[in-house]
Amino acid sequence: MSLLFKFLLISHVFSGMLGIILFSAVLFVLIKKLDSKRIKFLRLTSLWGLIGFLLSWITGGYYYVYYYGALVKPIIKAGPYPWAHSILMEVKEHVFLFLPFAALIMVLVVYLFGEDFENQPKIKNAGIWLATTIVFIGTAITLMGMAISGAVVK
Amino acid sequence: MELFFFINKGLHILTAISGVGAATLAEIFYLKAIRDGIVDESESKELKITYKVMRLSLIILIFTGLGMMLGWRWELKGPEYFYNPVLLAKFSAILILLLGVSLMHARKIPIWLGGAISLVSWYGAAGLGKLTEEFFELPFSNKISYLIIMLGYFVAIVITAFVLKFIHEKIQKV
Repeated sequence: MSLLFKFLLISHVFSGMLGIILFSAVLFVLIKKLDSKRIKFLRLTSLWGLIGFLLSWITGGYYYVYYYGALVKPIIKAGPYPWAHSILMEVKEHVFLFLPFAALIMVLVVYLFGEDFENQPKIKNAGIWLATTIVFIGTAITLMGMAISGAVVK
Repeated sequence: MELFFFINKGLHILTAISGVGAATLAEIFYLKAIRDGIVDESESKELKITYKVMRLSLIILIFTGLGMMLGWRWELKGPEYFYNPVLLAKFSAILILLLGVSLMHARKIPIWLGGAISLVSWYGAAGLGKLTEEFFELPFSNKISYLIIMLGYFVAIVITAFVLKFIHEKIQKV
């Protein structure tokens, strides 16, 4: 693997994880009673979380198209764990497309309705559920990525 | 790259130690704080710092853990490392730790139960982490499955929860 693809893979994994951690922070703060300081924190954190997911999206996409598809996929499909690609990677690459959009919605909700969260518990609860979904999907995708890495044999 | 993985592994071990230490101290400080029934300002400060160390340790631990796995991926360690029951149990312990902390944070579970999950998960993940790379060299490795490890983990949580609940009740009666 060339240095470029190593760098892309590191960036893909780390920026994706950063996104998950930041949205976990969003979730933890959303559960609490919100003041202006916390709303500011929510706005910044969700925005950086979205940037993390977008970076992970771009680096992962480039790595997939120019390295994984040509070199790694055939090894996995010919190995003892072909399901790692045919099931896990197929699920991962489709669900992964959805994640930055969910994150973008979260950012918009926090920026547009942040001040009203305490007065409108329905919006706040929807935000909590959205953040939970983002963290859950992100964690599931990470675990799938690990399982796919394990299926690459010599 | 070798230097990167060396530093990464060192950092992983150090943060595991600081996380285990912080989880232990958090429990000790909490029990000390509730002894008189009131958590005063200095006690609250102690607890906040300890939780911050624990959170930071967990974040660095996750990143360095991923760094180690990237190293395995490049060395094509394959299923022997990635599908290792010890590693899978370690992941499960960390996920349960995150779930437990979230539920405790949202006040959906009592503090003694959250404390038990946190303590057992930190100690369990640190111990399992030490075993991961050496697991297949152990003479009894073929007798240990993921389910057996997780059973031991849940039994440890139940025992620790009972002990912490007993201590909490005893302290609050005094």
